[in-house]
This record gives sequence, C-alpha cells and structure tokens, in this order.
Amino acid sequence: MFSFKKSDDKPEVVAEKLTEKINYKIFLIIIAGLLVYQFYLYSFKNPDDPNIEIVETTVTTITALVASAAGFLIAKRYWKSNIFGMSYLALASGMLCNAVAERIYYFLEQQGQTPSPSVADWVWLAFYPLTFYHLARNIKFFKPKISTPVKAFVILLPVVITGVYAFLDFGQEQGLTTNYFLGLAYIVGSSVILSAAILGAIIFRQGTLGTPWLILAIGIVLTTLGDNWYSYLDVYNQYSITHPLNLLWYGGYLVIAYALYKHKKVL
Amino acid sequence: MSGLDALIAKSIKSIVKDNLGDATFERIEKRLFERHGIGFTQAVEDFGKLDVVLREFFGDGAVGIERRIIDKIVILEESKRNEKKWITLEDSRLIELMLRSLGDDDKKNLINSAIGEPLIISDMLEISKIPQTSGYRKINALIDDGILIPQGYVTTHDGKRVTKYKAVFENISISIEKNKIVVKVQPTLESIKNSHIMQIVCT
Repeated sequence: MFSFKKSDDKPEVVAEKLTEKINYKIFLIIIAGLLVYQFYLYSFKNPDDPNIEIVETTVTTITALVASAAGFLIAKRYWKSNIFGMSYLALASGMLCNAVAERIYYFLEQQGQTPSPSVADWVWLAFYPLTFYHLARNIKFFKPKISTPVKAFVILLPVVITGVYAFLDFGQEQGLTTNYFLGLAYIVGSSVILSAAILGAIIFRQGTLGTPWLILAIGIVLTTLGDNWYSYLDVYNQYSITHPLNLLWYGGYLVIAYALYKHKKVL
Repeated sequence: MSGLDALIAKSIKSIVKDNLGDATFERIEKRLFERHGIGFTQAVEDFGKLDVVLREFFGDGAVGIERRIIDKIVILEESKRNEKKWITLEDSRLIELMLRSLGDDDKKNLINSAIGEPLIISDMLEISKIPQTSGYRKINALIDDGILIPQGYVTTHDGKRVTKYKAVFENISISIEKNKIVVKVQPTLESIKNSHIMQIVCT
C-alpha cells in the first residue's frame, strides 16, 4: 500500500549562482592527441616522404572542419537571431575557409604550381574578417562601458605585434614584396582577432558565457601564436612540414570547437 | 506592475528572441523560474531580478543588453527644466498599440478623462458617455496595455474599496517626420518613479 522510500534522494537544490567550469581533461586529451600525432610524424624515417604531407593536410583539414561543424551547429541553434545566429555563422564560415584553403594549397602543390602566394592565401585570410565579424558583433551588442586601460590594451596589442613583425621581416625581405605584405596581412589579422577575443572574454568573464569566451580566446591565442611563429620561421626559411608549430593550429581549432560546445551547454 | 513597465514589457520578450534566439530566451526564462519562481513578463516588473539572471549568463554584458533592449523601445529626451521628460517610442509594436488606442474614439475619450486626476471606472464611463458593457471591455484593454494605471482608492458608502485609474502619460505628440510616424509621450512623474525600466533608462 504505502511504500516508504528509504533512499538518499535529496531535494533538488537550485544553484545560488550559475557556474560553468572548464573541463581540463579535454585540454589534456587534446594535448595528448597532438603529442601522439607529432611523434607519429617523427616516426617517418624520410622527412621528404610524400605521406607526411598527406597526413599533415588531412589533419589540418579535419581539425578545421570539426571547429567549423561545431560553429554551424551553434548557428543553426540560433538561426534567424540577429546576433548569435549571424555571428556564429560567420565564425563557422571562417573555420571552413581554413579547411578549404588547406585543400587548395595541397592541390596547387600537387599540380606543381606555386601554392603561396596564391588563391589559397586569400581563402585563409578570409578567416580573419569572418572571425572578427563574429567577435565584433557580440562585443558591440553586449558592450558595457570599457575602461580606458582596457581600450588602450586592445588597441596596443595588435599594433605592437604587427610592429615587431614588420620591423623584423622588413630586414629579411627584399623590399616591399608580395610575400612581405602577405605575411603582414596574416599578422595583422591574427593580432586583431586576438585582441577582440580577449576583450570579449573580459566582458563576459563574470557570467557563465565567460567560460566559452575564455576558451575561445585560448583557441585564438593558439592560432595567433601559430601564425606568428610560422611568419618568423618563414622569414628565416626554417619552417618544415613536421615542425611542432603545426600543433598550435590543430590545438587552436580543437579548442575553438570545445568553446563552441561550451557555448551550447551554457545557453 | 508600473503602467510604463507593462507597456514596455510587451516588446522586451520579442527583442531578446530576435537578437539572441529562442533557445537563449528559454534558458533565461527557465533560470528566472528556478531562481525566483517568476516568468519573464513578471521579471520585467521586478527588473532587478531580470538583471541578476542576465548577469549570471552574460556578466558585464548584461548592462549592454539591457540598454540596447531599452534603446530599441524608447528614447528619453531630457527637458530643459528637467522635470518633464518626453519619451520617443521606437518600437513599432508600441507605436501601433498607442495609435490603435487613440484611433478608437471611446478609448481616446477614456484616456482623456483619466489624464490629470485619477478616477474610478464608473466616473470615467460617465464623463466619456460610453455604455457600461463596451466601456468596461475597453477600459480593461487599456489597463492590460499599461495605458491606464491604478492610483489610489475611494471607499464607497458600503465600505468597499474601489480602485482609481490614471493615464500613464500627461501629454502625447504624434507627428510624421520623413515618412516615419513619431510618437512621443510625456509620462507622469509617478510612472517614471515607479518604473524599474525607466530607472535604467535615466541612469
């Protein structure tokens, strides 16, 4: 008739404050995966083995596609909404550009054509305005009053990064060549989105949305580091396809995908 | 709920949905219910609670979202004497609501009767010369829309307390500027003071 529930069922307690923690295990899994991949590349005895290039371009394409797919899923979730819908569609498209550019670069290389400067660079560069659109649209909508020191930091960061690169690269290049401006374009793009991502993380830091924005900023920091490192190595002709700097891009894309997953979880 | 807040609350829901999507709106509404036991519309009445929940999600970004939402609905114009404030209605739904109310002769007469001194419903109907059946329906619609707000009571000879109502604004101006209908209202000082939303607009 009556059943007494002798259980540990406790009444559901509503959290006083919403919190969203970063799962550091995800970062460990990404780092472990990348290290395994890097050691796998080192296992090739011949550094000019064409399989290395196939593996490298496949991994770049897949990691960028993972982030892009996560972005499109978020965009679909907020489809038709002016801020989230459009901004996440732009971010997803930007990540897709990275994947497409990688394929174009590989294709041109296989055809024996010059892969860079080429149309692949334009597609790669499209990532920056699209990502900047995503960041700027959110920041503009949610923008509270930004203090002067933060404003100064946001402006100075890309100026300093670009200035240092321009100075170092100018000494190496033979004048104002296409390669010089192309390298500069990557640095300007990556440093500007880095600055905007940090600003976004500052704005949302006290809310649950701050967690995905912090992760997004970390992902963009990684890709920016990759872009900068690549540009400097390229200036001194020290870049190789098995260079560990590639891990920064792969890691960056996967961390961005994790940020997008967190966004879906939070909102 | 303050009459002005009721008027503005009609638009807030759709503005959140339009900009941040239905999923975000549902999350905010769910959290409002979890934490405070109220729905979104009620949260507009207690704007402080809505602010707390928005901050839980968006951190400092809540300030931006609140201002942006309100700016899309109304623009506050400071008068020189700083006593009377004119509010320009920006939201098309609010403008439509106001024009529809003023376009109806009976409603217009009822609003006119309630500008200035608060009145009980039967007095409003008598002054406006409107039959009781349709009059009550129209007064209820004006109360629901937040155009008439309760202010004080009168005690009848049998001891019952009857609510008095007053128009939410003192003056209204309708003009056409470059093919755009511009509706400005001058709310009563009490309605500004009692409005949580207007407190944010004014700061």
